[in-house]
Amino acid sequence: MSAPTPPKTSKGHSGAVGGHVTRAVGWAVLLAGTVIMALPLLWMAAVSLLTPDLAQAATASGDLKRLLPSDPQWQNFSNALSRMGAAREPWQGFLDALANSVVVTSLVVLGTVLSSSLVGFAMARMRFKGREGLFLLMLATMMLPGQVTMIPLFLMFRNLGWVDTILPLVVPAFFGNAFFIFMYRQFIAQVPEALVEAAKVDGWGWLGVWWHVILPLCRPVTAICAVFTFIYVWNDFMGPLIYLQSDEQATLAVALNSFRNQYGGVNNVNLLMAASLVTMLPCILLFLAAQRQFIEGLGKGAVKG
Amino acid sequence: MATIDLNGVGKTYPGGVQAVRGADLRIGHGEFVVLVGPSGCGKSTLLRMIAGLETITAGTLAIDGAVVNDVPPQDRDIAMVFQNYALYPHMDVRTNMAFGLLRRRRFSSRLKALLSPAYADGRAKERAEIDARVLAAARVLGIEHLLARKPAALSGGQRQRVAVGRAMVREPKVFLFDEPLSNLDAKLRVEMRAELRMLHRRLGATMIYVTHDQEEAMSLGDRVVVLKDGLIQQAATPRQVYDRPANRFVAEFVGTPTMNMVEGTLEARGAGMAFRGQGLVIDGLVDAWRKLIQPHPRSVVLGVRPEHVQIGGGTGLQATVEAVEHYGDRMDVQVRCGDRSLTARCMPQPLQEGGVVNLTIDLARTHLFEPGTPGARLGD
Repeated sequence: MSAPTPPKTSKGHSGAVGGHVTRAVGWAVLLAGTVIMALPLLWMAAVSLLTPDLAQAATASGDLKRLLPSDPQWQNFSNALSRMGAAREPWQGFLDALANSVVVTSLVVLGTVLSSSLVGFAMARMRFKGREGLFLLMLATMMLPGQVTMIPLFLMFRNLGWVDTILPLVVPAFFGNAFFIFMYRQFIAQVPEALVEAAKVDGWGWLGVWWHVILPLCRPVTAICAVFTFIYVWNDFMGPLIYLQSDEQATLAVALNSFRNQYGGVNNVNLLMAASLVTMLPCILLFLAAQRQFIEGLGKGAVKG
Repeated sequence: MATIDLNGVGKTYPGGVQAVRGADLRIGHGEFVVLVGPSGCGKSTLLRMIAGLETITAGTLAIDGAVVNDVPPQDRDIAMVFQNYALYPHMDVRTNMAFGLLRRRRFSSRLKALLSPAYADGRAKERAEIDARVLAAARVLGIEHLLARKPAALSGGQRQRVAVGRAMVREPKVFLFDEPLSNLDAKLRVEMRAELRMLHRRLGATMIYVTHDQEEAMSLGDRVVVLKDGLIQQAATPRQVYDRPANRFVAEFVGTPTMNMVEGTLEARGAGMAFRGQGLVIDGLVDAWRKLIQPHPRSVVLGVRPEHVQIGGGTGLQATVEAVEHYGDRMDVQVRCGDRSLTARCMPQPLQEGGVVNLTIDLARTHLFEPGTPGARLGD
């Protein structure tokens, strides 16, 4: 014998309808937000495929309908990139800047991940006198605006003879980043102490424990650290502008600025957008590739941190 | 195998809390010693000091005669099984078990292996030896089919076996176990207990095992060390701890149901001895206690285990049945005798709550303790 099903009440029905409405409004708000956030990117992509005349007209009128390219100008990309930089050979300027950006960004990401996780591990797990004081001091450095240290740092690197080399951009990354040290420390503090102790009993020293046990467990934080650092360094304009003075050393951000100065008028806005799109493409691809780890890490940072 | 000597070992935390006080203990080659006591008694701290995971603030700890107070855990050649197993979640079972051996490789450099064929050959042989040891340990523990799995894909019992296996492959001087069975269900716990016992017999290694479960301690240990408030109360064989507890705490801690304790006085009564207290008068106590008699009656605490209190017989002790617990093959009966409730363990028989019964106490198996704390054993 089955139990009688309770009759549907009008209250239950209206509650279900209310739930659908709330959900629909939520989706609508999210969709609007997505469009607003994606619009500049779509505008850039659309303009990069227009002829100079159409790009100029679309930019001047602000009419979104004019953005739809009926005849995509794919050659805009090769035209823009081959003209980038001051090198005499076509493409050379772009390839140099790309190589410089790849080297600087890779080294900074590597340095930041290794040093921040190591310091975060020490702050979370090692007991030593003055640990809390050092941690607070390190957090205090996060409050300093970059502009405050810009001139002293430049003078210091000039005295070291590092100006016009990538060293001022790369070496500081190997001394940790306060924000990421904080993130690593909070995450590592959640890792069971027994894992560290088990590894020590298994014969590993502090460095072995960090490398073999802690770092692999910190993948979500490492994903955040790597993606944030990559995006920041890849797009960084001020640092390379200050320290890299010759054209051969320029990164993509600096080369793009030179390109803008050279072809930034409304006549060549399609080329500028093509160059900009190519420049930001690695960031988008990296985010898509590391999306799962990245979002998981953000969640962990928020909850456990 | 190794010997471990604790001489006045103590641990005081920065706040002044004394977790372990003046522990003196010698653990012999191949001995299985169980540290047991209630929560906060210092048993885990003592084990962690032996492991090197806690600093020693007083006394000396020696392994095989060498003082190791300042030797870090990685250099003590010990293996430890943790309460929560502490398996590395990102490694499969094979790597978890081999992890300690990987640290001890002579041919560990990948770079050298690339540059030198002889080195690469040595490295491959070493790796094969490690794999063979892992496989051998896995076979003993019946987990060879799990070697490719991650810890998250294992049950509690399987994780516990992997943790033991990780310790086994190292072939260390000393095995340390920190309540390794406490996360298992009751049935599996009993099974694993038997397996650990067999493992000890097979390996013949020195093992130190921490538990708060006195039954586990009694069933596993060659020797049981009972701790309370950071002090070793008694270190003896399970039989001695049960039959001749060093003090009132040990007597009450070991044994289920707990030992009956009655406060009273001991006095000469005619040619024999008598105990009087809390409405109870027990004549004919053992003659060995005669030397305890003073000119005046002496205050003591009389202890008697429930299985030495029997329902029936004719010793003149009458009691009222308060509660009956049936366990099939036996029953525990709560009776009121004088001003005191006593527990009797006896064979199943028809008893009514509220009914009056006669009690027989096995006087030869009674214990006497000093009143108060710690309540040292009297009469030996």
